[in-house]
Amino acid sequence: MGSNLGPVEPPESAGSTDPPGLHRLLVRQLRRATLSADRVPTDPDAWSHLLSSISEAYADADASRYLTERAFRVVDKEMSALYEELRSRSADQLAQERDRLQAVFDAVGTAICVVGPDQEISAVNPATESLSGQSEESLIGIPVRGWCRGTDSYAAEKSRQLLLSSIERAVPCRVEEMQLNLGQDEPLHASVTYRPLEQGEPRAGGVLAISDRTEHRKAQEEVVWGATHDVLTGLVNRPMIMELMTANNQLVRLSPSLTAVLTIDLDQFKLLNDSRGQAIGDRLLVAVANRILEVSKDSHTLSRIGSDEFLLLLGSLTDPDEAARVAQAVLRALARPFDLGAGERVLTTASIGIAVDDGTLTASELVRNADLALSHCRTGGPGRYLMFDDSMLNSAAEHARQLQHLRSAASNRELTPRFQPLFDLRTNALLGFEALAHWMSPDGPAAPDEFIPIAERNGLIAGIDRSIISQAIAFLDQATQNGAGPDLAMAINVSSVTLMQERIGPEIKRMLSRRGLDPNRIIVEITETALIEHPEEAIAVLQQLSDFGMRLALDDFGRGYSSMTWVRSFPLDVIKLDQSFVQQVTDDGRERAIVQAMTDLSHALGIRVVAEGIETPNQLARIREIDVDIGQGFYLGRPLVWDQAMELALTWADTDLKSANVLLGPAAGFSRPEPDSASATYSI
Amino acid sequence: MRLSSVVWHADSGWSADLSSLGADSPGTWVLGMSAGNEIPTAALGELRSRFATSAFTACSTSGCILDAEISDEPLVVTVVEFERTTPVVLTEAIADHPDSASVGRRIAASALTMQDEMPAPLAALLIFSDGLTINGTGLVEGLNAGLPADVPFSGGLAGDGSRFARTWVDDGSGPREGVVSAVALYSNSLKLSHGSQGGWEAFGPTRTVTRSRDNVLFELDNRPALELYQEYLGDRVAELPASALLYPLALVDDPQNMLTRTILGIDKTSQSMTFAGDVPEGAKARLMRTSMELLIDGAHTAAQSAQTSDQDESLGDTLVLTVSCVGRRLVLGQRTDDELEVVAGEFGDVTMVGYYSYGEISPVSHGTSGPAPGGSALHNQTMTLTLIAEEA
Repeated sequence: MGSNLGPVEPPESAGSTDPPGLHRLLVRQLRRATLSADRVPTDPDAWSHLLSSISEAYADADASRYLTERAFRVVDKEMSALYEELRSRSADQLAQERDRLQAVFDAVGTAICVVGPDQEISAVNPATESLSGQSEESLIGIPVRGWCRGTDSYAAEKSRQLLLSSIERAVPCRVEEMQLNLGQDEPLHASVTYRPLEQGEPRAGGVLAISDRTEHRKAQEEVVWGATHDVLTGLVNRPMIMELMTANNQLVRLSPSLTAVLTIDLDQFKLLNDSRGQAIGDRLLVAVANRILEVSKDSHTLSRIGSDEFLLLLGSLTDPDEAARVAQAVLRALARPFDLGAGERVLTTASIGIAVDDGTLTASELVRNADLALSHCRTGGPGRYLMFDDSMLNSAAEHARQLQHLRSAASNRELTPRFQPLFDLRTNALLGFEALAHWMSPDGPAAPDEFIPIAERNGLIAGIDRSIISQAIAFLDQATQNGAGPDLAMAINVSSVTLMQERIGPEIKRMLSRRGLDPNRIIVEITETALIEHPEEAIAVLQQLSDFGMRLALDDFGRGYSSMTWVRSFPLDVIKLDQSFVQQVTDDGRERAIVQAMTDLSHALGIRVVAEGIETPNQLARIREIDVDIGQGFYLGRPLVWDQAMELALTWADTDLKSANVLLGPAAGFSRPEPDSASATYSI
Repeated sequence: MRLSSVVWHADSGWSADLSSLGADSPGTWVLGMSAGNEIPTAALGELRSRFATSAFTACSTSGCILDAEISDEPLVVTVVEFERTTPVVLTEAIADHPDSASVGRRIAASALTMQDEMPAPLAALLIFSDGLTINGTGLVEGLNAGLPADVPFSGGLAGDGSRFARTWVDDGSGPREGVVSAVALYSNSLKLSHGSQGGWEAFGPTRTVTRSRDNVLFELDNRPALELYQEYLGDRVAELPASALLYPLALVDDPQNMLTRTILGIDKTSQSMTFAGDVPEGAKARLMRTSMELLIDGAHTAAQSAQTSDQDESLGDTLVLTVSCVGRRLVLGQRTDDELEVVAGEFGDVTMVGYYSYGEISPVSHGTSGPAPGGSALHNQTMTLTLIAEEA
């Protein structure tokens, strides 16, 4: 040690040693007091110094202990205050949190229920009270299981078990739709979410959130109802009745009972709808549905399957005659006048086709049979019913075969015109011809009553019309070039379908222009049907044809609705009386009076009148008496092939009507047609 | 390196003839420490005359350390005769600078500038600063900023017993308040090691510094800081500000590197307390406490950490510059010698010289027990040791 100390060196006494066990501080104090532990002090100053040191050490210890104890007390006080503050703050925070949660709980629109340890409702929010219609007091304590009673659907039962099992196992779950019985009259359709407060610990309880799905379900049901029902009458629609029939069919196969289908079609409904408005038509349909239901049994199912067509399904029949009796009852019910309110009173009839099945037919086959029966029934007149038989099926098959041939004929232009002469009944002059469609089918000459409706229903008629018109104009052109009179006219038939194609007027005009023919030589014949179905469009097309210079004739006048309204509303030049008038005018004074009135009225309007179907000299005489302008019929001249008609056109100029039957008879090479024989031509 | 010591007492004078001390030369450093109420002006003057060409530093203390004992003698002197080291004293007046950091930067700059005139590079700085008017944190920051990382510095702030009235430093031109002196050691053969440890532990609630300005603390948790201390001190409030040393403040934002702040003074008017280092607003703080045993253990740890692996007999005489905190002395009382004895016991045949201060400076990080990453730091309430030797 390199220090060189002076007076501060400890003044230890020579030879003295510190006894073991003394505190090092006491040893130091003895040393500083120049004393030794192994000798009794004799120096009063040294003794006094030692005592002072010891006293000071005690004081230091006291001071240290005081400080330590005080520090503990102050810290304890501080920590206690902090603890209290913390606790108070925590309590405040907890209270705030609780208030906030309570506000959310109260404000939320979803029903929320707290589930207690025993799976009973322990708290609910106002939305739950509102949803259940019960007060909080009455809801508290209800077991959740009580809300989830058994249900009749497998899916609902599965949802119920999922929820209850989740609550019991304390695992979260969501059930998209289930039924809850919260005390209302109807079970509640709801989606339910469950969250346990402590996963896997059922005793901790949990929270149920319930969202009302009733409206959603109603909307879904409405969609389903709309897809399966007729909105106007509330009856099941066609897809639904077919489904029901399929299901019923399976039941029938398991039992010896019969099923019958009645297809019920209102006669002349379209006419009523068009003439008196759709609102009246709709009211009639509703009233008809109610009438049919009145005579139906619980085992019957009524469906509206078309505009004015109903289907009545009769299940569990033991006798096919039961179906006939129901049909009779329906016809009787519908025969009574319908009072549709606001002074509207309607009389209507219906046609009914009946088909019965013993479990061997499909639903489609059964309806097809009933439709066939209805179709056949209609031909017999209104207000009837007809039971299906197998011959109708054959007829339908025949119809299909004919369609195939007709389609082929139309595309191959196998339909050709026949020309039936038209005579001026006052001068006996040949005025011209009506071009009539003629089809030589593979089975021989086809009856127009069979193939023309088929052509109309299957979109073939427009092509046929154009083909015949084109050939008729070509005939007129050739006849003119060959020296026929420049006034020789050609009547052409335009179906309602063709008429609605706006191009038909300009097309005919172009055909005439190309051949340099005066449009005035063309008489366009239309039927009432076209005017009834599309009056506004029809009048536009007819006006166009008239503007082009063509003449217009209303065909088959008197067969259908026969309203003189047409005569007034359309720019008609000619009306053609239906042959039924001509054929009855000889014996029936009443018919004659009607024809006379129609002729006089037409003349008064500047319209010429054609009598169709003159087949006897007697008919011709009577028609002349009535002063009809133009005659047409087998007695005057049956439809001729191209060359024959051409010959007639070229030679008639020197002939008069008096010898017409001679010219058109055997001397001319023609045979007289029998009135009731099947005709190979049809006036369209 | 040769060491010799002498003590001066007003009644008995010098304990040894001054002529017996080392030679007055540029390689000699004279360190004087005074623990009395009065400045030993005459003795200091006599000493300065004797060592007119030597590097000279003396300062007021809160107790002088010489070997394993503390004394409150008016003047304890140690003369260090370096063989291969040149000590130069650099002094800056705090009032000449805008802040304490600037003082540190200026001293560092001067020390580095001076090495151009020296036979060896700057190896270390030993700091002796006024203890009351300096912001120790700022001073250390300035020194850290100005010195290269391989030039360590250590030392401490001057003390004034437990009076906190006046501290002074004498750099050879007479004792002055408000100055910082540094002994710059230029050498190629100087061997240094450092140790520093406290022995205090934080207790009670963690508080937030809600109002402060630099090293002046006004409020903790919106409560006047002085009021809090008064509550803890109880009857010992009369001993303020010294008794506040019994409860240093721990800044605990970084629990791994807790900073200890010791009190320098109080202001009853503003209810504020001035600390030896910064107490930033928003910092988290806890009071600290200790016991005699914890302090003695801390001193022992400091000594152990200052032991270097290559320290052996070949180093020749070793000076252990010992700077401990006045707060420790207040707690230890008559047992203050105990912490010195455990240090001496750890080192064996060395010379312990130093003092009880108002702040200790050391490059040791208390969090890691290794060198502080940013350089030296101001410590409080620690036993801080700097072992100085020259290679033989």
